Amino acid sequence: MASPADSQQTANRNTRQRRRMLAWVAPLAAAALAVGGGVLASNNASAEPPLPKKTAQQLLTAVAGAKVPGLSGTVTETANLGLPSLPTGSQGGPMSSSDFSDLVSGTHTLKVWTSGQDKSRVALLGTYGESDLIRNGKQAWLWSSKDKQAIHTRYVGSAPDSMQPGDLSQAQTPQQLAEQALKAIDPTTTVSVSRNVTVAGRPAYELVLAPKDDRSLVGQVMIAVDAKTSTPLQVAVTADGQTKPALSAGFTKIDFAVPDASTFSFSPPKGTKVTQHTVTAPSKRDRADARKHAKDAASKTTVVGKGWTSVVIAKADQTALGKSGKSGGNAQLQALPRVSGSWGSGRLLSGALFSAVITDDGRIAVGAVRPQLLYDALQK
Amino acid sequence: MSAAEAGTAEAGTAEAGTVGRAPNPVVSWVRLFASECRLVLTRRRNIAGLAVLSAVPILIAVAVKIWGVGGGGPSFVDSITANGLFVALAALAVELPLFLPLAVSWIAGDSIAGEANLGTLRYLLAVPVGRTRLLTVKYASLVFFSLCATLLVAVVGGLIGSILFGTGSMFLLSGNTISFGATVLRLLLVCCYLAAGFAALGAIGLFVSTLTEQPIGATVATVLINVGMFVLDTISQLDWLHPYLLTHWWMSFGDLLRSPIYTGDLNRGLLTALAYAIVFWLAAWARFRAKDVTS
Amino acid sequence: MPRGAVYGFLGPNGSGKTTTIRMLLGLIQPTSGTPTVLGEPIPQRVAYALPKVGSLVEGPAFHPYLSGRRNLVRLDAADPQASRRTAGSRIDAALERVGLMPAADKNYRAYSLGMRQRLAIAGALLQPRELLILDEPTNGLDPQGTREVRHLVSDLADDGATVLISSHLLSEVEQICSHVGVMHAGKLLAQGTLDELRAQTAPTVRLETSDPQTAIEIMKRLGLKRPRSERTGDHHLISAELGAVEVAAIVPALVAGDVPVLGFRAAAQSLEDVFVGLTGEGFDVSG
Repeated sequence: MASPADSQQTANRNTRQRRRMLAWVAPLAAAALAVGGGVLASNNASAEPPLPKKTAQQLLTAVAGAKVPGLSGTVTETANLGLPSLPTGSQGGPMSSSDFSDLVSGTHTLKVWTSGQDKSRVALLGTYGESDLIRNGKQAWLWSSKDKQAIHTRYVGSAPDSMQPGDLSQAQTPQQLAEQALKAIDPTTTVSVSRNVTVAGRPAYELVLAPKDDRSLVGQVMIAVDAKTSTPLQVAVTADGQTKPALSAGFTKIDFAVPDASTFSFSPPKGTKVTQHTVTAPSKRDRADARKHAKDAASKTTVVGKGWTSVVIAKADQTALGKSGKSGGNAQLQALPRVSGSWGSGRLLSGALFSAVITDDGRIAVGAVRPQLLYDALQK
Repeated sequence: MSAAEAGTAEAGTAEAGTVGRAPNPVVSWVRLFASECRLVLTRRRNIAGLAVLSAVPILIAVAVKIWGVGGGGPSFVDSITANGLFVALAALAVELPLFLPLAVSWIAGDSIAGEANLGTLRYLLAVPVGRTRLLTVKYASLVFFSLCATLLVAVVGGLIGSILFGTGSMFLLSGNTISFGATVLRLLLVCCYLAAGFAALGAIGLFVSTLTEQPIGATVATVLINVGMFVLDTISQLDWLHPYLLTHWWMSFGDLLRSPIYTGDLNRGLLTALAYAIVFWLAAWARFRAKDVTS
Repeated sequence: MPRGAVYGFLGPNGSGKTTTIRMLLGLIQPTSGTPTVLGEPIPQRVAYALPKVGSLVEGPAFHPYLSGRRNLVRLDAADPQASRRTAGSRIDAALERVGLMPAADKNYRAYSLGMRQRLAIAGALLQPRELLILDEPTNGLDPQGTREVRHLVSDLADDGATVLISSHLLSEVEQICSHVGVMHAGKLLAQGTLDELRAQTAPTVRLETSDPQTAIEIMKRLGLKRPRSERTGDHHLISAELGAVEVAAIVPALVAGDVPVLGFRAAAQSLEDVFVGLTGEGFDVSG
């Protein structure tokens, strides 16, 4: 018995239900917009920017000659070296370490400033902490907010060509990484130009370096080179057979304005433990000494192989190693797997990009190669 | 059915009540907002909660005073002896994962479900308060409470720290030494940033609160969401998800203590908080605007 | 329902009175149909209709840790039409009217049930109202409190407000209402003035007998309308509408017809009978 009034009521009910449902469009649309915006923001490099064609050689020359008066930027560094997890205290959890030595694993944010040839600052931004490496002419500071410690290095005489107080070698900015990679360019390397990319909102060429020797653990090294200034903006090292980079560092934001001079000045806050270092530029006699030192070192260190597959073998300081094979050895070393062969026996540290063997007789072999190549080198 | 014919003349049932002109909607909104804030801040159990929040900085300061800095421990604690204002930062860092979110969840869970549970919601709606208006006022009071709770921890921490350790030189994470005034300004910025994050959690709580008539249930659910986000944030396999987690950005407040202030994560944190606040407020609205109030 | 009327909304528990009131106040949405209050459709125009409506829904509900006065201040603040300037005097007047002035600053928690009920009514009186909707206003009150509320309601009606009172108590409705609506199982069965409903109630006779057939025959012959018989224990109770028949003539006729008359009563039908007739259920007459 469907009277007009009844159908009217049914229609009313439907309208009401529809309106009730319609209200949910607002929050759902807002959520979609937010997620979509987030995805878009993180994928802004997907389009290939049009750039005039350049050969690999042209690019290499441009990079070598690149000079910017100064820049500041934010660098995201990700290391996924496949190392056994180290007890750094930063494993897992959203807390990120502000210790330069922790750069070997995980994702980190660094801020980089440079001005001229002799002023630079790299800040590793950790959760509630920061480490700064500041180089200003003949002064260098290494500051750690966590330990409230500062290392002050003064260079007497001519300025050093690379800034390396403390454990600077760990500070992996795209420029430093690119420098390392370009040094390796030799006949064992294939150099090519890949598709253009966008890094930190700037169009860039992508240079690909690949070792010819397939025994290397390094699959390829990609360097994004800013089209305008030829500054390396991003470096990604991919291990052989992997798709995701084992090591990458790239600008997420870059500004080529020269930073304020105050950025590079540092005075330790009160209550800071300051360690002073003085590095004297080698005089003539020192240079001779240095050569002798180098010779000594060389006698301790041998390089087997060439290019990407070279293996460095060094005589380890027994005391430093804490006698790896004996029960007195430190726990970290003990945790590594034991290996042995016709070359002897020892412990193996195997990562995505390199392997290392520490033998019981106190030798260390390191290379960007698979362990077998290390064993071969040790046998020689 | 028609309950009554439309009357034209005003029937005076409250002699003193000359209605006069209806006040400006903004004025009346502010009046309700003030009433709501007063209700939240004078309620005894809320005061007890705030007292617990302010006990943490006192505990930290006294412990450091008596036993000294033991190395390690929560962030910022080692620096307290150098400057008492660090107590505020240490307390905020300690209360960030649970205490402050719990306090905000408590108030947020109570906002609608508590009124429904007491039955006062039906009287408010019959006034009529206006459902959307009620939700805006309730949310505004949550934002206000988030800021109050955060500031309370910072102020108590700053005061107890200054008394026990004095306000010596304050240095930033970048190692720069800054003046007392600049320190207070940075602390204020830290509080505002954190309050924005907690206020976004409050929007989630407000939404949950419209789903139930059990305030405790709404609070527990909101706290679980908060803890859940922290847990997800620790699972490195889910790193693609992390930027979308509200809590992922909370610890970025440390970026306000750098020189220069690193705004990258702070901006994303604020944007994320804003997105959460809008989405969940709208969800609360969609749910509440046509909800049958039967308690 | 004319202005100034007191409308009794009567129905057994669970008949849909409170649900109807909730619909009128826009608290719940009807599954179909659109109620109007003061000519405004609900819930679309709640904001226009409700300021003229004071209400008490399903018992009082206030914040227990606030005083009576502060509870009213909060309700008043919730009203977008209320001015803060006049709030103090309006609240005092409302408290005065329900006689809560002496306890105004006590915590609501400490109020007796009667005081709570009165505070809720005071809440409905914060503004001049055209319509007052009072859901079970005397529920749980002692006789003294009930009387006070009744006085209050008739005062309010005298002032020109229309009052809608829901109740499951027939006696209450009979005493204070001028109009009645009867609700059962979600349906409004009848409404009108109390007198109109009373007019429907024809005088009836009730006969208790053990021989219903003969009795009904005789009653029909006499001209009594619609005799009904129901069994009560060993006997039958027969009721019939009197119509124009002389009461005095009935018993002799029955006796003459050899019907054993075990009991006989002639009475005007009470409202209760009307409602029982309508709803098929009884009411709590006692209260």
